[in-house]
Amino acid sequence: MARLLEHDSLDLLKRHGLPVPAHALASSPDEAVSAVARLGGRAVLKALVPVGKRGKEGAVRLVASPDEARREAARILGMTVRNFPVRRLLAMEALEIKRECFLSLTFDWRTKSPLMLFCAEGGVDVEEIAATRPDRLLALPIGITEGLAYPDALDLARRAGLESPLADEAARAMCFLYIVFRACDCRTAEVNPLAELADGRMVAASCALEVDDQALFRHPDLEARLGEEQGNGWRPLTPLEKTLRAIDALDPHVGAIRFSELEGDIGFMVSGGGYGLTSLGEILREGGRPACTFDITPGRYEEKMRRAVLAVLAKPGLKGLALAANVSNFARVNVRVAGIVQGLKDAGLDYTKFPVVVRFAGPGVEEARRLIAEVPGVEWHEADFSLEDLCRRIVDRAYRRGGER
Amino acid sequence: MSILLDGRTRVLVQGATGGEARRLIPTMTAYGTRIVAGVSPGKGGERVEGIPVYGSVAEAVKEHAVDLSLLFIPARFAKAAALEAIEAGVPALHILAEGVPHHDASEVLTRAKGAGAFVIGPNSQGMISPGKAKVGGTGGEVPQLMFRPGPVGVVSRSGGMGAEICLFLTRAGIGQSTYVAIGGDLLIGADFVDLLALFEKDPETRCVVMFGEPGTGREEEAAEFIRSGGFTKPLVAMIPGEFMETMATPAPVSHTGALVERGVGAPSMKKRLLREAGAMVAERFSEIVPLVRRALGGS
Repeated sequence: MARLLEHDSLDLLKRHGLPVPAHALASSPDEAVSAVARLGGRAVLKALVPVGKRGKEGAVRLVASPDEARREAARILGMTVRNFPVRRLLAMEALEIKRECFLSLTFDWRTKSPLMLFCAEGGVDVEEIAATRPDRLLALPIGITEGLAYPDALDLARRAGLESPLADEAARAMCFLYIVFRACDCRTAEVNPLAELADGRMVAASCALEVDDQALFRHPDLEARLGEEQGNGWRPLTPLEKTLRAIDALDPHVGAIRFSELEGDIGFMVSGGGYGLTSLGEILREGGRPACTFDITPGRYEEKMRRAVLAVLAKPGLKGLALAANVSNFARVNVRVAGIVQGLKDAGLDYTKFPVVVRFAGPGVEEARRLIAEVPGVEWHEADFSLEDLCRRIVDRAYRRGGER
Repeated sequence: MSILLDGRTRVLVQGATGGEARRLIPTMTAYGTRIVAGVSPGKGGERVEGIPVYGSVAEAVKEHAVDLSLLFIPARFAKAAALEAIEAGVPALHILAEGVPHHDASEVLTRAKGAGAFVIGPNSQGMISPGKAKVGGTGGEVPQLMFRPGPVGVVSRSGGMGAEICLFLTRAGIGQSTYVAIGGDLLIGADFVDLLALFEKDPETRCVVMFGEPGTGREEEAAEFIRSGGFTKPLVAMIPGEFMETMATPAPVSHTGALVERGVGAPSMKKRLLREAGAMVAERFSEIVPLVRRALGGS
């Protein structure tokens, strides 16, 4: 899932009609000082990172003077929030908030429809409210072919305990957020808090939009906003992950690569979503320390495979490499193995000493077997070799467990 | 017997003149799949492997009775094609495309429900009733290497692992009644419960293997379905990914996910509920075949 940074999320809400506080970006203490001045001398400084719970990390601060703005901006810009170094700040108009509500939209796998969640007590502890007083958190399934009707939104706000005219303000916010959710192909659209101000208006004081990766083809504008700052979802990309992204970008039409670097020492290029996950559990059970996870979708991807193998083999301290996938129905495995063989050759290691265990099954297996034989020392297996056999074998050989067999 | 698909099932292929369909149609017909017609907008009147092609689903169903439409349609066009089939009254759709936008899937599944159409997928690799018929990529050109007819129903969220399970069952001499890859996306049509209900009614199926994944409550619902008496045959279940529960969890992106799932979705919980409902849970891949053997009565 692709999470937009907060200023992008706020811009999208505003563009679709939902009021948001005045805000500005700052990438230095000086910029923060002038942003705070423009916002009236009092503002909230927030770390601009693609993860939640920033407040609990001390990365959100109210500042009321230029000195305070400079000091707090310098401090937050020096922070790393949940693995993400803070490079920019969002300075936001300080609001006088009377009440905080929680509002969000997501998809419910059970009804296969959008689900709206609303709680008249929002803020950072909404999970706790849901756990201790679950009746306070209301859910409204929305028929995607009908959309959200205003009377239903108003009813939800009233059932949550709001009275008019505040309930009408909340219902309007619900309808606007639903428009954003649909228009931007969101997986999740969350406003927390939806804040009631002293004058009775409601504004989206903070917001997180997660855009559907599978729909980015029709949102080039959103894709452009995402960029590398995303990281891999929970931390910034490592240099090796950036290399693999660059390899993947060589040809966007064949073999999409998914890659995550781990801290281990066994190159673990075992693909197929379910097969990879099952094998990962198995290699951990065997005491193996995988150095990465890797997946590639079918296609004419020899060159991508060659470069990917080369890149993974360049990781320092690697003790072995496992290459495998679930049995293939149609995709010829010799295509993948041709790329692997070229990558192994280019890396130029002595594979009688550096363990490489390979398992593929399916069409093209005879040719794959012939290709692998060109690289002395590489261990080749086919259909009868299970994912458990594979994981045990690479761990045994990489850590010389039970002696050389 | 089998479920959903056999040699009499009349199959329509949408996207019939595309490269993938042209490549796969001969392997399907050679195996026994009864493909009655194809659809490709603007290509009405052509033939693919002897199969008549129409410009729209509506035209095709005017000339042919259709039980199932198989969509060889890229993700970005899948919604339009699926809605066309639903509107034309096709009773069942099989959507293969990976990467269908969630908003599109939601719309298709909602419209299908309203029209009473059965949907498999999206992001399904295919299905096969060994010895009778197959749709999608499942089994490739030589399905006999991976599948053989027999008493075991197989249903998997992962197409790769479903195929791998069938491969090892077949190598152990154990055949399958029907294997269905239900698709790995958040929003899919037929679920474990729908398939278990069909396998329950199929006299040939004596045991079912179910391969789950972390996330959603599909496996939890299957456990509840068994408890309520909806499925009474032996069930062998595997759900990988429990190791993820003890890993340092990535920072939650938002509150919403936690609020919607509320603890549902963890493999350990799925396995516990399935065990309590009487299912045999395989902790490792190598346990599946022996458990199936035991379920079939030590044969």
